[in-house]
Amino acid sequence: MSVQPMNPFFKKIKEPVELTMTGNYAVAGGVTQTDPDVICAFPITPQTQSVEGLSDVVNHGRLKAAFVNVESEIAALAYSTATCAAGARTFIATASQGLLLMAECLPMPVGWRVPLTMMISARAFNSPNISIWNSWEFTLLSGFGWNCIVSENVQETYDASIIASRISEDTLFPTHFVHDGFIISHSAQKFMAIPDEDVLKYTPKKPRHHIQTQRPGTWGSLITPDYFMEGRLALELEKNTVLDKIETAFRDFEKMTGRAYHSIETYNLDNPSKTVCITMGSMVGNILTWMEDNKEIGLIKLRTWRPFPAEQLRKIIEDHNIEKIFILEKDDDLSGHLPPVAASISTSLVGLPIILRSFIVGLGGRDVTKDEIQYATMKMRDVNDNRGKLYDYLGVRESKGKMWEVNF
Amino acid sequence: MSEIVKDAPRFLVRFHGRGGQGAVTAAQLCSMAFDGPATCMPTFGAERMGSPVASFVKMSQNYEKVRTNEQVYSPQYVAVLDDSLLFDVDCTAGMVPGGFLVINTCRPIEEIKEIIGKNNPLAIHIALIDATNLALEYLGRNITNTLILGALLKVAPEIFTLAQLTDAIAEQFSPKIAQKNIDAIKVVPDATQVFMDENAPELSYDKDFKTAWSHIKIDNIGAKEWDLAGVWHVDQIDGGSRRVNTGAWGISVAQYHPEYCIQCGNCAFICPDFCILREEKDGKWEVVGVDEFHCKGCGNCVEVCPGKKDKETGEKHKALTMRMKC
Ligand code: SF4
Ligand code: SF4
Repeated sequence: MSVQPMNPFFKKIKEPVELTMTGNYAVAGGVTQTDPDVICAFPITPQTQSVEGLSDVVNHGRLKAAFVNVESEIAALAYSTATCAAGARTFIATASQGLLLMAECLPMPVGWRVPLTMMISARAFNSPNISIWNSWEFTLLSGFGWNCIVSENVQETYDASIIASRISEDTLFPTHFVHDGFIISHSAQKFMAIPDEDVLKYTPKKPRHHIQTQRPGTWGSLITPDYFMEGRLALELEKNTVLDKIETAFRDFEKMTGRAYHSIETYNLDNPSKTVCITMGSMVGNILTWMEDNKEIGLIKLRTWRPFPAEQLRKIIEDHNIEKIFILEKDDDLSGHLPPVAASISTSLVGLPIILRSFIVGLGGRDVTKDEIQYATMKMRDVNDNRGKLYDYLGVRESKGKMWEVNF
Repeated sequence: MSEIVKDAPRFLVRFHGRGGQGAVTAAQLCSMAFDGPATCMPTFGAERMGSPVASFVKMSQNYEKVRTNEQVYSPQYVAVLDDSLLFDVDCTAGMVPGGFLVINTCRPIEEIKEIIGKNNPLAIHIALIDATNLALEYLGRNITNTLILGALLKVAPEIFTLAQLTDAIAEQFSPKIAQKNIDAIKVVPDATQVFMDENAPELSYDKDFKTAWSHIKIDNIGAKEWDLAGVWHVDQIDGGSRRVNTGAWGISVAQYHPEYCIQCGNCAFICPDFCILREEKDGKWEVVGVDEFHCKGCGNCVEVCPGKKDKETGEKHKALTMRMKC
């Protein structure tokens, strides 16, 4: 093959260097630099090249890790949880139906406090038909206690592949890091790679809890009603410290690279319409480019999706006297109430005098363009209360030749 | 940010090719050759060999202008790697007036103008290059994606220089292949014919000519017209392989000779595109011919066809053979 995608990571990276790679290969590069001991995943579009890239670096000899082939996603997660519990730094990746197949194993590493790191290349679930393209399936499966950070572009997903490993091990909760399937996984963008040495300093392998013969114990055994709730509260108490640890990880990352990340990032909040759009992932870029010529609204970018930075969001909304919020989200759950992202946001803001709507866009890989952004902005001008349906689909055909009108 | 960077132009390029022709690599080389922030992406669809694909590059010294992860809808430059695409795809869609359409073709300009005229593009300039023959001469194979960049260099010298392009190629390919490509690219600018449209305005790097909702194929059925979402009635949804002219991809096509056919059915099972036509006769399905609109010339059916002996000569003949198209 004339093109060797992982070439830049076959050699040691000694200086910060600009590379051009697709999101998946950049992640493979970043994960390589964190020196994982075990890589175990089952391929699924659009995640595949991330693990393919890692198999290349292992095969090349640059990365000394066990590359374990398994028969399914559920096997991959069960295996990874075990190796990670045994002390190995472990990387795993999936998307869509693969994540569903893992579902049985998702709560386990949380309860066991196993610091796994998983990439999700976000892709629609197969309903009503198979789609290999982008939707935010992860928002429907993020209730188990995994940490979750979401990236906008290739630079961010490369950085996240490093930061996530640090967050997992600092918090002892497993961490998902997500990019939009195809839109980022398959786009080639320029990004700055970090020297190996810095990455290793940033993500040191620290000794963790484990079970020894001197002090016998077991992972995940049967527990009676006398203890189960105490176990859950113990997890909750530890979970409460996670957001601070994530901020620390971001701060240290900024010291190392100059790239400043926060759980919530804001743009143009003090705008005349007192309106903000809240979203995450690759759409943030689309909106920011549009905002170059349009200053009517502000933007709040969620980088940390789980734990949800509720208090921080509430404070931002209060401090800037925001009156209207609209959410652009690439998910729906047919639940009859707000879709997942809006649901998290609205419950964080209970009691504030906020007018809120959510637009469901970009499902199954439909591009979200300036048309959607403009339409949503315009629609919000006339919304003045929280009556009626608070969400609707945008950028979809009602019938041949006719677009669906958002009904607020 | 300095004012110069803030006002920096935003270059948008779209490549049209067929799966396997390297449109994605061309876009990636562009972004590498450009000195500054750049992103590129393919259209995300079926990536079978031969199916129409497109890829996009966005480049600007002002990162915020190319931060968007949208596809490119209003390019200033469009490069077409395969002129047969001009019939299938509107390669000029959304093009900025005064922009350049670069085509790998040996057709004369009059014919090209007639083909693209059907889509009523705004006033654009056209550049023609016979990259296929140059590729065969210099690279020994019909891969034109790097050569077309040489033509782009001629019409858009402001994006990157020859030296920047050859650096990118050297980085991306093994030294031997890189050198061949670089040698070929050097002759491309002189071999490129440029036809300027005198009515075209000066090229704008900021104006957007995307028509509203053009990314949503408005004539397809909508939510209220699905009988039952999830049930894919082929008469209702205009999609799938049926309408894709896979027959345009190949250089040869299967030909059916009924006199040698023993109706074993092998061909119908092996054909990857269901191109073996069958008809029901007295309760039995019989092979009757080849669907040339879809036959992509893979030759699988010929391979498995047993055929039979000719009555007169006694020689064995296959009932399917490959016929070259030109
Ligand atoms: S050559 Fe034969 S097998 Fe191949 S596509 Fe054509 S009819 Fe089908
Ligand atoms: S494989 Fe040949 S002999 Fe058999 S049905 Fe097809 S054309 Fe006839």
